[in-house]
Amino acid sequence: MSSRRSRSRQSGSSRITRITEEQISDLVSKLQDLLPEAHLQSNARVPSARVLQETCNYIRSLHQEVDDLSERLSELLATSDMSSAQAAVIRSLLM
Amino acid sequence: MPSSFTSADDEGTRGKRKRGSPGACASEDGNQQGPSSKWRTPRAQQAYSSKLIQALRLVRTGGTPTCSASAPAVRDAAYRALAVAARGRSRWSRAILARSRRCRALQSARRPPPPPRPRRRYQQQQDGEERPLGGLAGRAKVLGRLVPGCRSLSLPALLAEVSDYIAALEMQVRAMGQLTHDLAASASASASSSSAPTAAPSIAPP
Repeated sequence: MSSRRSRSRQSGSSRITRITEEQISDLVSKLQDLLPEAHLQSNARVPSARVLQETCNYIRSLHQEVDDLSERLSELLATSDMSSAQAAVIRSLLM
Repeated sequence: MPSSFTSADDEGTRGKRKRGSPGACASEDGNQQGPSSKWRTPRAQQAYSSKLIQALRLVRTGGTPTCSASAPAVRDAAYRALAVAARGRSRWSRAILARSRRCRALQSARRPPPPPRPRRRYQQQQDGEERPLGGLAGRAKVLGRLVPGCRSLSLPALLAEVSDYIAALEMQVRAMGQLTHDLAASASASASSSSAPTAAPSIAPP
């Protein structure tokens, strides 16, 4: 397990890491819950490094989605008017 | 009999709490459910959508008529609105706002905004860091570079920021997707309802 190796390496460097490793594993498990199931099986025990890797991939995919949506939005805004967008938002708020 | 009334009242109050906006419940139990739950409420998404529209309006009016709403401008406006929605409570939001100020200073000098350099760095270093030095530490470094303003954070603080950042990004994707859908729907509706637009040939009968 790479996490065990990192612990053995880090334990020699500083004492503080021993205290916070429980916090780290707790936070990593919370991160694992945040990730969608497509990226990670939430039931299985996954090493922390893999959770971090999947988190990186997930953030990159979210960035990519935002970029794609920005492209679509810019195309739509070029053709339509902002008033129609505001009307659409108001409609969604009422519904 | 009175016990049934009280139980009904309790159920009524519980029902009101449940039926009430989930944002209220999330704010009450925010510490228990985690601070990132605020991003998942419908209110937050609607507030962000309206902020985004205001920001996009500024993008359109502020820029030159030729390059009105470019994709990078829309993206920057979206991230800025997201950072504003975070109300400065998270490090990544403050970093985004600080970065946008620098970009505005550059744009006032009529220079194109800097290219997305951090992504190229990730791609270059991803091959080198697939076998990370410390396993956890190496990947945490990459993660810290992905989230704005979190390069030199300790691991617990970084993971806390990341959870908030992911929740905010998910809301951003949902809101922008909804806005895109609404815009496209309204555009198609207006195109079908109105008679010939200026550019297209007049096909609609009077």
